Amino acid sequence: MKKKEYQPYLLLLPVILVLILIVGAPLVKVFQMSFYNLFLGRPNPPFTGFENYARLISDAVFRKALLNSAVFTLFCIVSMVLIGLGLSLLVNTKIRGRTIFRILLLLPWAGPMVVASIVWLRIYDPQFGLLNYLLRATGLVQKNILWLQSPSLALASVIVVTVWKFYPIAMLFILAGLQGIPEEHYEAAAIDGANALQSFIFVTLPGLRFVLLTLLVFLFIVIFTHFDIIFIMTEGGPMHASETLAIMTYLQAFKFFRFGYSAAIGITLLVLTSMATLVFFYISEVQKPAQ
Amino acid sequence: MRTYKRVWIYSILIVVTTILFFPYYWMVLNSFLFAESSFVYPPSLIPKNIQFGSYIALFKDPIRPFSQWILNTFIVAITTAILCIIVGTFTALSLSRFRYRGKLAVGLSILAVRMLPRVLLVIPLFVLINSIGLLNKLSSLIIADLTFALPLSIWMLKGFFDSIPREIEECAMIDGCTRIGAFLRILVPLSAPGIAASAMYAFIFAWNEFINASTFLSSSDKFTLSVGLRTYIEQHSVAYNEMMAAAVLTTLPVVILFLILQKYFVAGITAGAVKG
Repeated sequence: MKKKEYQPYLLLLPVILVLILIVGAPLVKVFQMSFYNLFLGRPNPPFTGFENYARLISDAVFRKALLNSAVFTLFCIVSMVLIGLGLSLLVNTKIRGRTIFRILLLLPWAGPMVVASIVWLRIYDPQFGLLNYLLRATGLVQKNILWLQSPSLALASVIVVTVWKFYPIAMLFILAGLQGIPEEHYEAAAIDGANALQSFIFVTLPGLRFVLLTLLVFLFIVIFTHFDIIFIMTEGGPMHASETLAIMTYLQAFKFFRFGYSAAIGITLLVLTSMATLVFFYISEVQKPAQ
Repeated sequence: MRTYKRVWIYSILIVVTTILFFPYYWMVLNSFLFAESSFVYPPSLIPKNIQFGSYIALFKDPIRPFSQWILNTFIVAITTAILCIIVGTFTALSLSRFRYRGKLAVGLSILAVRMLPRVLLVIPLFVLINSIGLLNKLSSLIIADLTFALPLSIWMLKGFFDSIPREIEECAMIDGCTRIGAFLRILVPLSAPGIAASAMYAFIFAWNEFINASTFLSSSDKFTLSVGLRTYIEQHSVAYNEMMAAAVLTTLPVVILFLILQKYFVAGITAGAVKG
């Protein structure tokens, strides 16, 4: 009996090893780094305590990044959930060829983010891009619009690309959730005289409650910390217009070499993400008795 | 279903799918044009001449070792997938087939790893890898990608293992099999589709991965496709069709894998997300 008891722990050894080395140690190190005035390549950095964090509050770029992160995350998630919901409802119907539609609609998520970025970069190109061409050809606008180069439009433009890339996640979750709602609920509603809209509000949405909550948590983590698309398309520009917290973390480290400051921003990002996740979990626990 | 309702649904779906699929169509279309017509204005929506010139130019590009990039990306992705499966299977076995103290904590910590921003971890990883001297080596990328692919792989594997009844292994053990023997000879072969799905997911993840690759790799001959693709946009006078051809070739393998996998994704998410 004794011999068998350590088996499960033994099986865990590889993953624990990997996680401690590649996640645990770096996490501790970056936390430590945030307390020093550390620059890449400079030895013996001075210990500065919370100075890096204090600087964040007075840093206008940080405040802009925080606002950008909030706006980016909010608009992306709302759009993704709405699109995912709409598409799931359409694809979940008993039409022929729904599998083909479902597969085609899931595809934006499948490819590399770099590919999505460079294709959309081309579409957004002010002079040769398709978008401006179509807008001018149909007479909707007169001059070429600077989608990624003007501070007012840059963030919106990357939001569109991100929503395009990630809405399939919402669609997958909601599709799975829709299939978990028992037919009897709809039949009961029909007997009570509910029309399509009413059965959606009173059967579908409540039935999706748990799935939607899980989806929101997952999407929040992915979108709030998202990096690739914005970095490749705008690098946070022009003039920090599309710089989210994640982008700022990276730029401070690898463009300005302020590793200590960057670490502080990164830790802040982590704390914000964890707090929001805990809030979501708390809400879902409160929801559970009603489920 | 009433006919008019069906017509509505089809119409909306066709319009929406066309719009959403369009960027990929645009990418493929432009890869088949050739240099002169890339800056044709107005841009054409329908192919007039299909040529493979861009693809040939892609492999002959003197400053971009595209075939080397394909090889690098493949090495990273397949190694990550294999290691991910090995480590993940052990872990999922432990989580699925045993009951012990701290099991919940372990499960939650693994999931928590998924929550960590990769931007955050890339900074200390860069410093650590630099100090070991593994910078600009594919092995550092494999290790980093492995760690980020593990949580979801473990979750998928655990789901698949959970779906196979324990009685089957218990039968084998009554017949004299050891616990581990039962795992290897019964459980693993039965979960083969699930293991394949997890491997493919890890492969896709490592293939598409950008931030670790672009931070750890600095010389052109070590680039993966993601990093290499990005070099096209840094110069404006680049042959745009060559870039699209490169994009098509980079996307094709993972899209094919994804098509095979998508059935399992829905199943895996159903198992985890919907509590019934």
